[in-house]
Amino acid sequence: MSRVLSRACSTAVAMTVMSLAASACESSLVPFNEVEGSVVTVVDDGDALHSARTFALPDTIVDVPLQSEVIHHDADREITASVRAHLIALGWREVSRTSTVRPDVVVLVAASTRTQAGVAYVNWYGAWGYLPYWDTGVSSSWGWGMPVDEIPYVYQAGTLLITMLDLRAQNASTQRIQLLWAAAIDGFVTDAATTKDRTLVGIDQAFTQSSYLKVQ
Amino acid sequence: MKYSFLLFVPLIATEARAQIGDYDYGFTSLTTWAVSVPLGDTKRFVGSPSWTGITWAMQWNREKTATGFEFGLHDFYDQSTGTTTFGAGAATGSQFRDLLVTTAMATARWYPFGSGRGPSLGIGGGGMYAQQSYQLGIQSQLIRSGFQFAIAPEAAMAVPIFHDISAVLTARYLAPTSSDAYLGGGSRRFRFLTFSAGFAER
Repeated sequence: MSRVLSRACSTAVAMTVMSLAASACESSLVPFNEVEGSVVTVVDDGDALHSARTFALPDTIVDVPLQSEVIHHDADREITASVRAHLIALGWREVSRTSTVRPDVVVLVAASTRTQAGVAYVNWYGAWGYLPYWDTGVSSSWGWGMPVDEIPYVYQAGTLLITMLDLRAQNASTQRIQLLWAAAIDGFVTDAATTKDRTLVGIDQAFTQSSYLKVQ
Repeated sequence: MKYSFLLFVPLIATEARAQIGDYDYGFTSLTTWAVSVPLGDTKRFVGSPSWTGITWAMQWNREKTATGFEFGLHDFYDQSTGTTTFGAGAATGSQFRDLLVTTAMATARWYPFGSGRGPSLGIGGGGMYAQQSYQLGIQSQLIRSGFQFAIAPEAAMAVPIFHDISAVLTARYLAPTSSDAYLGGGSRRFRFLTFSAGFAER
């Protein structure tokens, strides 16, 4: 029996050494200096999205949380213009803020300074305040309804978030505004010199991988 | 001249028979390096084979059968850059996927030409613990793990090379039950086929 135990112990030591060697190899497979960011999109690809035709897009990028200034706002108009151009190229029609026509969706752009899970930021109402697109009664107690099977991704600080909310589906009983589509552009918001160009590349990618946004 | 090495075959065979004749019964320790081919949900998560695997078994031999326990460690990993489409969206960036599977099973083997040598058929039954990791971008992202019951039919060949050591080649299919504890929701069965080579020491 002692021979059995001795052999078992020596084999266990060998297995441990091999396991540690294997895990060391895994770590070296991820060269941190070569990672250039990531783009995650989520969608509620149902009738609500396919029936939407018009959008409103405020020319502001809000900081989440407020006043955190993760992004230089000099580039706000260029970044929102890129989002607008992509939507129009996909067949969407913009409704200006002065128009009496109510848009189907509102597209909000935010830059987050904190690590957070999911694309819905909790103090969205604090960041955006009361926009004319919300129904009466919408307040900070309301949340966003997320698509089923949303990718449970954790975003690091410095992420640009683009969210498309269904203005036709503001449910007072559940206090939910349904989110139809969102993009998280992660690792592109870095410093003043490179943020704008990198973010524009990320926005292009977000729309490239969201072909379902094309108006039928 | 070309086939002169065939002259040595009878000598090798005689030597092998002598070793087989000396082979006695009792406890055997088997250690193998395992290469695994992903199947089904395993292949959908990591498409490339696992070259990092090890199994260790201890078994007690009888005349033509052996019973024992076997432990295995198999690591499937893949790194890629590109876009992966999910049910409710897509992700683009540098992606790292890892599936670390450990198994612990009771085993039974049948050796038609005598225990611990020659060809054998066997089956294992026990548990499988799998840890699934998915990383996108620069942060460690998602880790899920789950336990499943599994069975593993196998075919093997043991060839004595020294008095108490045999070379062992094994082909094994790991068939676990399904679990919904993993990434992406829904039921997952991480199946794979393992080819292992190693030594049995009695």
